[in-house]
Amino acid sequence: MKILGISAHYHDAAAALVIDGLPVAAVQEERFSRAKNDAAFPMAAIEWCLDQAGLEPEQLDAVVFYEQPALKFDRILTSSLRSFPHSWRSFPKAMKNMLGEKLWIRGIIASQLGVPGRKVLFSGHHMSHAAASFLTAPCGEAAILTADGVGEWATMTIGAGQKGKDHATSIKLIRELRFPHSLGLFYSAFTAFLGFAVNEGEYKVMGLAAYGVPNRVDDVYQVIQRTADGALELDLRYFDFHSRAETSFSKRFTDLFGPPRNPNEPIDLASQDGRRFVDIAASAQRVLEDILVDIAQALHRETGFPDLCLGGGVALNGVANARLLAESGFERVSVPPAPGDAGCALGAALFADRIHFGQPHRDVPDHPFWGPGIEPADLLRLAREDDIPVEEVDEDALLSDIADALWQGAIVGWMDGALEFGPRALGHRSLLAAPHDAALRDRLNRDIKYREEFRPFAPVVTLEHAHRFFELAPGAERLGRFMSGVFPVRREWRERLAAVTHVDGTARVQVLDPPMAPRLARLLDLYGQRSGIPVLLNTSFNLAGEPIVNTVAEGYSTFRRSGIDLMVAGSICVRKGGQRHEALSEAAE
Amino acid sequence: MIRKRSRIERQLIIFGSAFGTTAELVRGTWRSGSGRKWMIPLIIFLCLNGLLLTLAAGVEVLAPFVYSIF
Repeated sequence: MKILGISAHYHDAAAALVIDGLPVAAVQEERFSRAKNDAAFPMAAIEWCLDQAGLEPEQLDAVVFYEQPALKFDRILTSSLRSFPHSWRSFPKAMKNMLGEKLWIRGIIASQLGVPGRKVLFSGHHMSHAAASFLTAPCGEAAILTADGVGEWATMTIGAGQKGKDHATSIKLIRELRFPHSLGLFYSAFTAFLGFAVNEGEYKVMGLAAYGVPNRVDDVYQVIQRTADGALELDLRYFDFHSRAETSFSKRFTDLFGPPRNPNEPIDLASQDGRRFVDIAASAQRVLEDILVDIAQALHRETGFPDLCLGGGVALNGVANARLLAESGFERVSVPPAPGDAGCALGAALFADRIHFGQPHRDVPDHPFWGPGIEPADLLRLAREDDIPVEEVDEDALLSDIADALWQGAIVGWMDGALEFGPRALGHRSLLAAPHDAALRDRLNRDIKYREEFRPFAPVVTLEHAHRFFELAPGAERLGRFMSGVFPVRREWRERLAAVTHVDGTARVQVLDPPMAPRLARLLDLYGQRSGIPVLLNTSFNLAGEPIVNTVAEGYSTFRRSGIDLMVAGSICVRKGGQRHEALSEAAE
Repeated sequence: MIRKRSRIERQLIIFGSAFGTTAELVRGTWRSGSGRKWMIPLIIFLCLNGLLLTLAAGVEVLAPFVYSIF
């Protein structure tokens, strides 16, 4: 069967194509439109997916949208009426948004693709999250936990899944938490309070939390309470998101926590206000973790499965994921490379294949590389046009040269093979650098990523060496596969991994299984031969506010506009002339 | 290759499918219990407004007439 999955119209639109039970293409719209978290109908992503498989839209058996717009409309209408008259300002905007486009998605898909309306199916939002996580995980049965801001009505679900070769795949969502009570919206309210963009800056709160002391936990538990049935409830007097579109926290919230942070002012840890913000971030993070662990422990007792599949935007919280692995009782925790709404495109397509159409289960290849490939010849042409020295040497010499450059302190733009699906750069569109020197991290922040100083960079290490440098709990390799867990750096290596060790001694490590990205694994080995530490700093190949690069031309443009020293696309390497790098051997020693 | 349709053609397809969506919505609300049945007229009213918006956006020649309704 040929099934196209689509997610759109909220944030991070994407398309994914599943043929005969296996993904053949999946990509976010932002990678084509170059507008970060682009929510528009993913026409370019759909076209690419179909081209990749050589299909015409008429050949599709079904097009599956990742949520049910009618239920979403019902939620928006009902909650607007419930909070009337406070909602009178947001109501027209919400209705215009919903009635102008979102509600008519069946017609939009039919009109854009030319497929009959009967071929357009809908999956539930959290079912799409659950399917994206469970149906791509390497396990036969698992407990499932999904949590995000809000889908249709559900904001969190727990369930269980079983895969069967004999058309017996099932996903049962046992219980759900409903809007407005939401762990994701709780965290988003703190994200907005701390001056970061909602749906985008949540990971900054997680990074900031490491600087603080969770001494406001009791205050945080005033705004979110546990219920007798093990769920949670927000005290809506502290929130505004259910009645207004502009703000997510109320005056009562600021009475409790003090004035919110001005987004345009940096966080000064030496100031009283700066300390207040980091302590609040630490407290909100602690409460989120405690609640998730508690819910997961109950789920483990209920299902008895050794595996937990996590989905939804909350699953991007690597610190919480690591605590879930350590404390929930599950032996393994799986988070897909795209646990957010983009991943729902793939989840919806897989759900339709396995459950709606009852096709037999097929193991999904365990990698995130479902996007467009690269054309290294483009780099050759672009660099020659600009008179930039180009090197085209054999594979061994090229990787050896890059390892030398990294050891000498170069920052390398690395493009290799198909684009990652999801928000993480996992070795195909990465910026690589030596992990030893904190000054290099600062240079990356200042000259290339242009981002807040408190945000850490992630390391990549091969499976073989991961335990030598990081304190990985049993099962952590699974979380580390797609950079979904934060683990302590071993104390003796923290100074020598200064650029990737966060202030609390942890790192969001990518544990690379060499067959997933063999060239990067080889580069890590070569770098290890020079430095004695086969670890590299790995961050996404993009500038602040831009999506991860897709084509070689975009990579080259980023290379030219920033402080990247060297760029590699396949077997072609270009470097900026006249630059000398300070040797890092002293720093490493 | 996806065949590009004209804007009017696209909007007419959306308009055509909207009645089914509205009917699904009404059916869902009817089935959800007596406490919510009072919302059905409101839903129909809002959906009709939405359809008008959709039509006005796609068939520009109709826009002045739709504008005059409001």
